[in-house]
Amino acid sequence: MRIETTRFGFLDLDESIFINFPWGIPGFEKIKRFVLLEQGEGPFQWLQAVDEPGVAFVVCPPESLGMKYKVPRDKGEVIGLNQPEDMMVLIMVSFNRERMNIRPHLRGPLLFNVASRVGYQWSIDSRELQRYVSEARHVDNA
Amino acid sequence: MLVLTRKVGESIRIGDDIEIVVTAIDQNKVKIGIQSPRHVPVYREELYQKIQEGNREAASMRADDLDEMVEVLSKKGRERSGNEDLP
Repeated sequence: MRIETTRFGFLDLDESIFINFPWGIPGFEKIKRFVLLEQGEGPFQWLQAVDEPGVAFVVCPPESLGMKYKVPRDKGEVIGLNQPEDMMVLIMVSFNRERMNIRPHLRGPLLFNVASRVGYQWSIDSRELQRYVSEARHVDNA
Repeated sequence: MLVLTRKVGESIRIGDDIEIVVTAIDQNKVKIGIQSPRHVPVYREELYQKIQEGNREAASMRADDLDEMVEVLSKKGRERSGNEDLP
């Protein structure tokens, strides 16, 4: 399927790689299909909306920024996760040019069921963040 | 908006699979229990709004923002590994 993106032009992609977001993402609730696009070097990928050319997020594994999530079972069950190996966690990252500030969006990690290609954003109350996020020992700057 | 009056222990049903129970009432606080299918995300409104804002900010990243961010990160990485070499 040919999809249009504002950042990368037209892309021919196989629909089998699309990821279904049944509830969209807060702020973008109507967008239900995304695709992960590789991005040169580094741990980053783009999570691009399939049906909305302008919507794309920079995402990366939390471990690559030195973070690790402990995902409670009920949060995974939302997308039918019952095998730990089917789970993938990615976090959004934004960058403020003026302040040269890199912001990982720790309170809203994206959880994926890689077997069924379904995802959603788990929202964590800031008071509960410490319970679920910890510093990973291994920091990969690749 | 539909407004209903409920007492402690009474509940409201939305559709056939969501139940909202008033579990306790304080002077200016209401405790609410929500019984809903696992696949229905439930949020506190203010948290939902914060996440929305964060997501909109994240969606404003341009391709060259990412390039610059990668550069900043690798510079930081180099500084860090440089420091580790100090005695």
